[in-house]
Amino acid sequence: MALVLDILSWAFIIGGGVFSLLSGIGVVRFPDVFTRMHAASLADTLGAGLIILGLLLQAGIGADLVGVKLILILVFLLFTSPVVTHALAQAALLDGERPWTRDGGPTEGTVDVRESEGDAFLVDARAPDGER
Amino acid sequence: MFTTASLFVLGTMALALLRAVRGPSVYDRIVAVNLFGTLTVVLLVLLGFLTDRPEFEDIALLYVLINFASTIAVLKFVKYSSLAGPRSDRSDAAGSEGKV
Amino acid sequence: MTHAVKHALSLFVVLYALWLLLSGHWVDPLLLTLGAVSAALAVFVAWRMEGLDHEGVPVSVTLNALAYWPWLLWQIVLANLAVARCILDPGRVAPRMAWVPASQCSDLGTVIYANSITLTPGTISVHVERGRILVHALEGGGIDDLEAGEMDRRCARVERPLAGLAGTPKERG
Repeated sequence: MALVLDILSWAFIIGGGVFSLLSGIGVVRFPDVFTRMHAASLADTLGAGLIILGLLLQAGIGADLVGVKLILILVFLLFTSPVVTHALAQAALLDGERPWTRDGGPTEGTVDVRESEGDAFLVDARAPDGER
Repeated sequence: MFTTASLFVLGTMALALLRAVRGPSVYDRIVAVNLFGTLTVVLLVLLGFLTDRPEFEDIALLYVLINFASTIAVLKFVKYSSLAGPRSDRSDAAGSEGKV
Repeated sequence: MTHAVKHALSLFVVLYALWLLLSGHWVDPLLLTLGAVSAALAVFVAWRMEGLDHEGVPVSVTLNALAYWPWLLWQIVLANLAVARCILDPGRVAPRMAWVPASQCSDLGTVIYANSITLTPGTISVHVERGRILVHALEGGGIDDLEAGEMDRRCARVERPLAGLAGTPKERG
């Protein structure tokens, strides 16, 4: 039984390590900010997730409630990472980063900063340009 | 087992640092630093197992939340050059947040 | 009023359970009391920040969200494999950005949908408006999958308990 658990957690940990390494490679080799965010979210989800699952199999609930804390770490990670990614992507787009496309053309959908819903934050962010 | 995982994580951290140093725009750097923070959390957890000290799990738990808050704060600072939000003389802009 | 009491109580219960789990002190009455006091203080602060509503304390959708998570986790695994393939072979990368319809009726439902989109690697929700979300996808297929609407329907099911709530469909903002 202990052997099965060991093999399983080895598999999970190696899997998680490979996924986080892939995410690092992606962050280095992808062409623009948005594609790099996709690569980074690999480590946030499966990379960290599989490693923590593997450790959970090793620890069980354990003394000092280590298992509970591991699960909480994973839950917090899964709740916070999309918020950060969304905030980053939106900030980058509104700041004038243009998504890279294969043919170099514009994307089908985009946000016109000038008309985006009278959001006070967006309007004020552009105030130094002199247009309101 | 834990050492292997730590090596994977450290390798990824090096790659993230490379992007943080090279990244042409400030957003590339923030993406890289955010990734670095996530990997720090994983490394802290692994360190707890490596040294047999479960206290590290509490530190990792805190670091998840600090990483979240700090990324948002840095992003806000880059965007508005201020941590208090956009400067504005319009009353409705402050209305939703400044209410007591 | 009764809604506020329900939200305050459930927030207190959740916070106290979290305190018990993280502290590991389950016998000393003094420490238990102090934990309860700190949880109550946190609830008080949340009340002063006007965070005690169906968005700040989403108890009514919790059960549906729990039922939604296994499917979402499976989608995350699939999307991870797709993105991993792209990283190994960057020739596959063909980013697209397009508006995707969001049929949820409450803000909370839309946020759940947008966060699910971002959480699955390969798709990021860049800008959210009522009724539609601007999505950046690493491969064109990501947007096609979203337009097929499976995730949209499941998120709408999660927020269903909010449908009858007064004032839920807020004006655009």
